[in-house]
Amino acid sequence: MAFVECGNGHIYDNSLNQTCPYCNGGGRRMEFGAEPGEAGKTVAPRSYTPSAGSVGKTVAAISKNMAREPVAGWFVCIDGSDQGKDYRILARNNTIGRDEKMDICIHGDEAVSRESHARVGYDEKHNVFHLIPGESANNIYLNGEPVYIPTKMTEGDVIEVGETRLVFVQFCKKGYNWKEGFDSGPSLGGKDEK
Amino acid sequence: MKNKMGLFRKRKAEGSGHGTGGIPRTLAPPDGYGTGVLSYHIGNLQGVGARDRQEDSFCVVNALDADKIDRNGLFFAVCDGMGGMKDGKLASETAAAALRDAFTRLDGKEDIALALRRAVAQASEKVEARLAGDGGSTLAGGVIYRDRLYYVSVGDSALYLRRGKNLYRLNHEQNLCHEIYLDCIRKGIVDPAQGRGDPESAALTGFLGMRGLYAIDASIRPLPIQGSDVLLACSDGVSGVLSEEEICASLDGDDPARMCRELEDRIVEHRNPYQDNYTAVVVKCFG
Repeated sequence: MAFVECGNGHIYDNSLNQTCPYCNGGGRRMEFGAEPGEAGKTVAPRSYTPSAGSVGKTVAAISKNMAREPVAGWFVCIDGSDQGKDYRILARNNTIGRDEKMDICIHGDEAVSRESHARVGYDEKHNVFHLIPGESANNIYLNGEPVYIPTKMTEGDVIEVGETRLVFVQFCKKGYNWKEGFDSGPSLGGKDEK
Repeated sequence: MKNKMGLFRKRKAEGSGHGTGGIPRTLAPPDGYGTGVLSYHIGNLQGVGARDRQEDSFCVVNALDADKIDRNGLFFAVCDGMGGMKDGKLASETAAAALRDAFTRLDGKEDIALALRRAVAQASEKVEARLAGDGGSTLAGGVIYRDRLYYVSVGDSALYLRRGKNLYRLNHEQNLCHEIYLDCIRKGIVDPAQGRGDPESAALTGFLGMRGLYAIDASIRPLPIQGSDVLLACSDGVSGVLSEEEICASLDGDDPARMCRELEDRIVEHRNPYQDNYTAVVVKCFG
């Protein structure tokens, strides 16, 4: 038995665990018959929207209206465990993986690496999207071709990660993006997003 | 006479609300005090509970290196994330990583209490930037340097000290319940029912990532640590479930890993169907 410290400051017994059991949000789960997800939601002590406190002090609230990071495009899953689901590509670098903390989390596909299987980078200067391979041992494919270096994506491209196939839908384009506004240039399906 | 007693009680209640009141200190400092004569053993505990994901994070720096503890001190922190679907974990991890980085940058010249408070403000800004104000994290942690504890806390995570056979709460919770307590005390009411009964009593009044974080709880002067002291930093999945008697009993003995198991066993015994994520760091001091 030997206790070691992982790079993130967790201590674990390396005779029981080969890698740090805490780094991927580990720990013991408890189920008492209730659906765990539902159980979390029912009480959810922190998903509150507290009003101004009755003691006259402002109570910090997580407002639903606060600006989130703007979206730049989407992936739509056409094949795989999440078929029919869409994923937001934000106007920055986006991580793809199976873990909850990934920006684009492909839940049910065991062939997708937990962390950073790949990334999608949005370059707001040039309004281009790149597919960037991650640290996974498994390849990613763009329109059937394996991707080893950052590769430009265009509308309608098909990405394969693990057992999942995603179609790329572009929102931000040249002259039509969060920086330059949406007054000129193409609109999507006749619906102007402001 | 009666009035005087009443006044004394009220003051006492207010003092204990701020945590440090009433911890016995030996009059004469122990031999070699201030030069770092104690050694520390650290244990950590984390569980998902009945939730479907882990949103707590924790970190310890220099835990297994006695030389580094002597030179740079020991850092520990527990962060409890809150927010949307995945943002909770992101918030707590961002907070823990920011504080860890700040600690490793300490050069020993700066006042630790001051540096720690600044690190917390910076960590809060980082969380706010990363989550665009839509999420946040609590923090309970501190630095032990030359046998003195500099603690810091934001939100409703807990810091406890077990000294002798007694348990002392070091920090106060930043939630609506606590604000109502204070308000009641100011009005001369010492019945805690009003705060606990409030439907929003668990709402946080401070967290890392909060716009305009107005207050943090931190030690201005460090607390001298003694041999056989036990420190516990934990998320409310531990402190909100176990009574202080149970926590105190769990921190008995010499092995922090065993104390962590004891805490977990007691949490499991409660069989709370909504058991929150639970995370703890235990520091056992040896003189």
